[in-house]
Amino acid sequence: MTHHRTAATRPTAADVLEPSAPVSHSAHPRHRPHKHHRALTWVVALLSSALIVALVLAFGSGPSVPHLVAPSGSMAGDIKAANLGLGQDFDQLSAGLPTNDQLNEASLTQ
Amino acid sequence: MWGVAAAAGCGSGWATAQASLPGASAQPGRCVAVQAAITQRVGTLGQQQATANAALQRLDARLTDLVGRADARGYDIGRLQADQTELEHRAAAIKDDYAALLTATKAAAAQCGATGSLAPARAKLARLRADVAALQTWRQASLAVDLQTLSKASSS
Repeated sequence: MTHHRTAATRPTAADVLEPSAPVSHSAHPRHRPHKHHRALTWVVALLSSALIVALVLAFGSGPSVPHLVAPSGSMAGDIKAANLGLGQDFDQLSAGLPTNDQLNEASLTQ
Repeated sequence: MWGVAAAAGCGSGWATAQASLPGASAQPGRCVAVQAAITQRVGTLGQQQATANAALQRLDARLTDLVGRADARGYDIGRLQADQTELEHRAAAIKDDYAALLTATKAAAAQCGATGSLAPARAKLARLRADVAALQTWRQASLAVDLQTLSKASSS
């Protein structure tokens, strides 16, 4: 079986002399990134990631809530401190209650 | 807002409103004075409410903090958690009592100091005082006992 090349498929002289695919400049050995540059890029990327992780750990959980019970180092100490604070709050709650005098109608115009 | 509405009651429709209120004075000047006095009392009640709400919030925060520490140290926190839930319920009721007291006191202003106008507010106050007293009783009977039990467990 004989194949005949048509004019459309047959390479022309121009095709041979000027290939259609452009040659990338970066593919040229002189323009390839230097090994040191690539290493530096990796180092910068790693440091940036580490910095982001550190910032998230430091501030990601929001503002810290101050402890109302001062840490004492022992459970008994913590309970003692909590009892003291709870007692103050319970006392304040009772002491600040409105009185019946505040709702006395007779004194409204005095 | 309520003060404006109440002040409007001292205007042209005041005499009509007063006629239906037993014991109400027929003097518009008195109505204004009564409303000013009630406004002042509502302000004081509002401050007392804010102080109480802050104290209730601190109570809850202290107990929550303590439960967390006991849990982190491996203690049985079942009873303290139950106390915490109980405290939250009681605190919510007391906050509601304060809000109801303020609402009832403000409502009395529209009646220009008529006899009995502050009776609903006094009823709300009685409820508030009873709930606070019950909270103190619970504190001694339950919370203090559970804290003492935990303290003993941590010492042994």
